[in-house]
Amino acid sequence: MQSLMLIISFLVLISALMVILSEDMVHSALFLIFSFGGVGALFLSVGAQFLGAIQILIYTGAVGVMMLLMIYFTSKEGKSIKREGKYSGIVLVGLLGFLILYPSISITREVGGTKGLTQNIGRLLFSDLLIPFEVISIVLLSAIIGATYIIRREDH
Amino acid sequence: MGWITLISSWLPPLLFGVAGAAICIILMMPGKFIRPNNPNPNKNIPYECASKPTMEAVGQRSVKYFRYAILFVVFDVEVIFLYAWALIAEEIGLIGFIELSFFILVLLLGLAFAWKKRALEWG
Amino acid sequence: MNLVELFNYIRSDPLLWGIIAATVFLVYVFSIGGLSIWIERKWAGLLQSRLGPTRVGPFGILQFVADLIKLVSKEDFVPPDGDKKVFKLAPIVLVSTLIAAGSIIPFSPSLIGSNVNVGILFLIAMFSISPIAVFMAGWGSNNKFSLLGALRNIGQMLSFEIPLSLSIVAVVVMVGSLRIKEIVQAQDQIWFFALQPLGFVVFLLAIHAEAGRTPFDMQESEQELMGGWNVEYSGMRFGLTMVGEYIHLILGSMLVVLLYFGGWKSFGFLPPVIWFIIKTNIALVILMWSRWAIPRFRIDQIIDIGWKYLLPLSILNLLITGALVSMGWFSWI
Repeated sequence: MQSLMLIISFLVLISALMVILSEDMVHSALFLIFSFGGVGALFLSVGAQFLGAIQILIYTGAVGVMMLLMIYFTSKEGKSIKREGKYSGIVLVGLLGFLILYPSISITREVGGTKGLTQNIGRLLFSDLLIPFEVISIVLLSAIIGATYIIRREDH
Repeated sequence: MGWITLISSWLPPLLFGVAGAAICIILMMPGKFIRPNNPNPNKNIPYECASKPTMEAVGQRSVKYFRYAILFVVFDVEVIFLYAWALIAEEIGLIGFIELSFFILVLLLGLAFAWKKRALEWG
Repeated sequence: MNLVELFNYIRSDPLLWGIIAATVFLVYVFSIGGLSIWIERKWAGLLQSRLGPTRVGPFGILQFVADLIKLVSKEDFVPPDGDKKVFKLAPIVLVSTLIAAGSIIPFSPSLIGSNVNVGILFLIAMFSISPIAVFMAGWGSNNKFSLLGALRNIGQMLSFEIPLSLSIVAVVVMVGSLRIKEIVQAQDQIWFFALQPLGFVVFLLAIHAEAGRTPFDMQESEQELMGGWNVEYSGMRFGLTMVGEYIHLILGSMLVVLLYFGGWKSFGFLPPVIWFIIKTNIALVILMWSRWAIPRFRIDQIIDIGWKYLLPLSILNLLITGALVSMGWFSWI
């Protein structure tokens, strides 16, 4: 099990590194999407199944597509980009690697349990976290309003 | 639920995905030996209605699609919370439903706003 | 060792079970895909007063074998100006994520790749990756028509995924479980299309649009885009993009049956798995039927259907269902 987690972690890290190193913007975005998916798999492998599924659904499915569209709409004919701050990026990936690899090596306790089940997250949302839950709707509302105004400005 | 159960429930989906990738490669293989390969500079021009392409493909864009992408992300996040509610709807009863209706109502306000500001219009 | 013992032995080992189930699923999907291409062409011929395929095999039933040989023997063209790696990877991403989504489809109570905890949420997550594959195909081709087709496909999938998810949530509310197996088992007394008529209509339209079939096939309208996002693909690579599309359609018809028509629930005298296959294929033919019956919508009409009609309708459906469930009206399910 630990070996599976290690393999996934390495895949996530390598693709995170490739995000920084690849010259092509679309390649970077695709590697980023792949590492999002890998993080989802990491969640699944420690038993946070709901979190893993929504990581794949939201980050690879929605945010990833939005990112690709963003690149498409802003790119000119030349597709390659000149990298600046590559080295600080590599340092950041190293730190991320520590954050991801350290727990997957040092974990000794049996993971899983029922905490990550969708029902329990739902119960938590509707009891202790009710106020934050309602606030999320306001945040999403402001996102819609912001998006509407951005879109309108682009139209005219 | 320990690691064994986790593995046994997530290994088949993983294997299905690997099998899907494998079948693509297997289907590509036999053609390697029989298909022709006649490269030709005219063949390499991007396919267009019999005329030579005049511009790069990537330069042209219609930004309309992007607005739907933003709205999609917002509503996708909303749906996720609905899944969490759906599993315990019967358990938390009417109070929970009223709390959820408030959540949906705020988002419906957002939808109505976007609609009013013509963000959902195509043209 | 008799058959039941052998089955139980295979079932107990996830690795062995995964490999065998994946193989069986692939064989099933490819044979149904090939058969449904023949059915579609015959059916189209019937509706348009012509014969359809007649030459290869009896009634042209081996037409897909001829198609396969043609696809394999065609030259493999990769656009030199495009992004070759992305171009080659796109069909593989498309097919493998869709096959992975198939792993949670229950053919019968015991014939299921894996009864994962998050069930249908995983399936939706896998569906949501296919716009990325389509974008990769369009981008890698370096062709205006491909990119335009890919954009249209993405816009369309994004518009219909929310109504699709919302109508699924309405079913999940009634059952109280994300596992598809339990959703089917909850339909013991009554199939859900009777309890969820509005949700069923929304779901049917949304899955139809997601699969990109004809009233909604703006992304590949032959008359203006000459095939859409896969126009630069040739030979077997083109075949793989079509395979992806057919798997999408087959999974869609399976979902229709599982969520609204009782899955493997039967009227007796045949094993459950046969019933499931019969029902899915009826749903498949009905989904394909509309291709020859309804003209294509314009892209703005399609997006309007998604955001202005199906989204409010699906929210309304969910609110009604949620209210009834919260008041305990569906506790008998």
